Amino acid sequence: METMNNTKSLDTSREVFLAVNNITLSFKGVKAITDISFNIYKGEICAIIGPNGAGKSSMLNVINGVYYAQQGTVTFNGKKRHRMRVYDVAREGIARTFQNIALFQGMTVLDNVMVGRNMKMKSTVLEQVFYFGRPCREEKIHRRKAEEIIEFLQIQSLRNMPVNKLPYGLQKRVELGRALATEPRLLLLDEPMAGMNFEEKKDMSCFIMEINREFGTTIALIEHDMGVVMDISDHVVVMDYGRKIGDGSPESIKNNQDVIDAYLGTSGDKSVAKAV
Amino acid sequence: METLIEYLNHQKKTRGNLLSIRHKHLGIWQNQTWTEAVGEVTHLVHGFSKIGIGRGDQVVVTGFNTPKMTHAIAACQVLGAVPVPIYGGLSGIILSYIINKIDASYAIAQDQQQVDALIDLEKRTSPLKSIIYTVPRGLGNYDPQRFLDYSAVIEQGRSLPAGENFYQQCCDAVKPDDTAFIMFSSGVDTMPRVVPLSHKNVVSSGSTFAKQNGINDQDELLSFIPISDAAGLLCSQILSYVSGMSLSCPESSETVLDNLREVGPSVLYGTPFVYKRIADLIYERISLGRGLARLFYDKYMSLDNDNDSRLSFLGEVLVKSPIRDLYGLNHLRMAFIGGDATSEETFNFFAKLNINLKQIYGLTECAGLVATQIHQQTATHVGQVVDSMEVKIDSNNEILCRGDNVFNGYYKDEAMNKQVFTADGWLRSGDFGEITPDNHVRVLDKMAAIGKLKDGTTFRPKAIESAIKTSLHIEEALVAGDGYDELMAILCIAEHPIKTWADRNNIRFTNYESLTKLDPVLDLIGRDMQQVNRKMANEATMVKRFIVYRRHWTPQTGELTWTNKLRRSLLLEGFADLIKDMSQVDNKQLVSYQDPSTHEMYKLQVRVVT
Repeated sequence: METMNNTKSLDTSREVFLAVNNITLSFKGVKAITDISFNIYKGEICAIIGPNGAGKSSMLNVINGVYYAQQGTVTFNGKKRHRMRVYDVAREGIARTFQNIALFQGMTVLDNVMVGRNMKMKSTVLEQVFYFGRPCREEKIHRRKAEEIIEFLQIQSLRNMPVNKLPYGLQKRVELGRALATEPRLLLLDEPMAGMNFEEKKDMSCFIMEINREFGTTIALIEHDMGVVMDISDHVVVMDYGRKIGDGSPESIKNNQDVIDAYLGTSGDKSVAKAV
Repeated sequence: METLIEYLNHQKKTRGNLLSIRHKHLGIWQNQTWTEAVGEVTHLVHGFSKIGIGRGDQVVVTGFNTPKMTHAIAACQVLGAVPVPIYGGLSGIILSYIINKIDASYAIAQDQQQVDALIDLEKRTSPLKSIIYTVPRGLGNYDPQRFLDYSAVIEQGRSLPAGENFYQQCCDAVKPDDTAFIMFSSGVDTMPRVVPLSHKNVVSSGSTFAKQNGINDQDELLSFIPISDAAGLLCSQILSYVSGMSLSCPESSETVLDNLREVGPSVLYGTPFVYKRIADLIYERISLGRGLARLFYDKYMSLDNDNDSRLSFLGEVLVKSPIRDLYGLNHLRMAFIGGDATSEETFNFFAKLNINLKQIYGLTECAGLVATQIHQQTATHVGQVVDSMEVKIDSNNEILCRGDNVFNGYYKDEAMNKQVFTADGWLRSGDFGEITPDNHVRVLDKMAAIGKLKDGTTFRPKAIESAIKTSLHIEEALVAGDGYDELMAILCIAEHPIKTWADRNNIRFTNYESLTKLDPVLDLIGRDMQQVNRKMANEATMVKRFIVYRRHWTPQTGELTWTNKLRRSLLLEGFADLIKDMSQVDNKQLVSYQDPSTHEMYKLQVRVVT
């Protein structure tokens, strides 16, 4: 793996891929997100970090339309929207994985990945029942795509295993596979490495970087492991109590006193150095 | 026919439409006939010659067994270049040692892992002219002048106008005495040595093997043993070319057992490690079984085969055939086992399943073949000397051999050549053995491995180790005791069975290392060792002390060779202090030990077997 160059500052001249403008989200008066704006640039890996309860997952949920924000807009693909709707979002190429794995537990790895292809299938339910002609041809194409993803994630040996028999780390990988199957342009990963051991984190980091590099997919991820964040991301957004307190290249975040105080504690200097 | 290339072209002529090789890719078995295979080789020959590969060039080939690797090897041979198969998982010191021994100018690698390992080396050695890779993933950013994609090379070859003529001219120029492969000896007691094998050597070895075992174009073999091992190479590409047998290459190294079931091959070659793994899986599954299934298994597997024909028929139908089917062993005509000492238990187990294992005995220096079992199947000897070879035992009980399979001498190592050949041209095998009255070869151990206790009793560590490894819970064992009062062993536990055992006994653990420290696990291993000792005929060959090592031994970490044999001399050297400490403490006391690679200190518990 190439070593990443972290010293460069954030390149803001690049095309803005997704822009979050003044988003405020509250649940019955409890403010989860307060007036947040940031950009995700085309082709980058953007990490959203912050303590738990900072509103990171809510932010992803606003982006892909699980929550509707009370104020603010999200601009994606040239369209400014007040409300992102889940089905529009999926069709326009945003896919995500969840903090708590949300796979079809009784189904096999292959079937779970195939679910991600469902959106691209054109045949009707009736046609699929009779499985003649179009659905037949379609399935071959989609199965091939699913197999390519299985090969990419190196889970060939698990192809026919029911997902609930797999260990946690591999389930996360399958979930990533399902998201990839929709051929996303923007991939949102909610704690892709939570609860993983060192080896599994290393594998997952490699996959994320390869997805970014080989397919040109823009990636936004929430992660707690500062080492991983600093290693793989091009851009870091820091949140605390629903507000944005930092936004920039990993290097600038590492030296940002607000971030060190809020996120890493006052003795943060040492722990940042240690974590990185 | 005297060269592999002549055989390849012959297969195309006579069996053009039959299956030559297949590979599972994207979930589907992709078949290639002999015509298609030779077509791909032809394109490669053109492509390679454009890159500059020519007569005498050494080409490192590293990766898992796939049709692309097989074809690339053949294309190199057509051009008169010499393929050097190297185990795909190597990196660091061993890889650099190996590359420094030869004069490679090109490499064919599978994926980024191997390409990176080769690039790493170039800081120390002279750079390779180009590296061709078969899996382009992650290699997009590499210099396209030096790093070439296999399919791009084929496309280039296809577009060249020269056509059949150039290919035919190249084929005609290949002579039987040309070097067909450069192999490395496995390096059990020394570092690997460079072994050039000529077309004559490998063809002689392959055709004798095919003829004596009756292997033909109806046979099919699952090719998963790395071709960097001489017997692995013999039992894949060479055997396929000389007999017309088809090869099936697994999807990845993790899917071998699944693919075995899908293919249901008629010929299988594996190391004792592979067969033990299959046996352990069956044991484990049975131990979880209940009710009728368990009852039938216990009843029919304990019967002798030739007892009562009605009972054995029932056993075959109810138990044995279904078990074989589960692992794809139902179509097996021949199951070859070789590469290391085989335990009687493994033999008996497979015999009970009505699968007759046949041993192969060979050295890298003899193109992987000296003797093989043709009629009698047993663990006690390795069979008869094949037709193309002669064997005799010298006054030190060392096995000597001579014949067409034997190579001409190590690459650029005159001093070693003088040692390894006797004055009248016999090759010293380095193995300690005998010939039984009915003309079978018995291999007892490596000459260098035989040890002597303080009181003068000699012991053969390999025999003791294979007895220990019959325990379901022990994966690897190293027996030491040269110059000590009693025998000691360093053991690696078998992860899967022990985990299952711990689960069922409500023993808490987190990972492999935590298992190795648990008292109940050590007690369990202690009981297993007692049982092993009970079977030993001689008090002196009983292992009295053991420790359980904290991690697996693998070829990657250097404890095993790439065919999963112990690097005994290396290990004994590395563990010398540990073994000394072990001999001095009481039962259940801890000894400290420093990991040679990480320099971290660990504590290991010594157990005394009563």
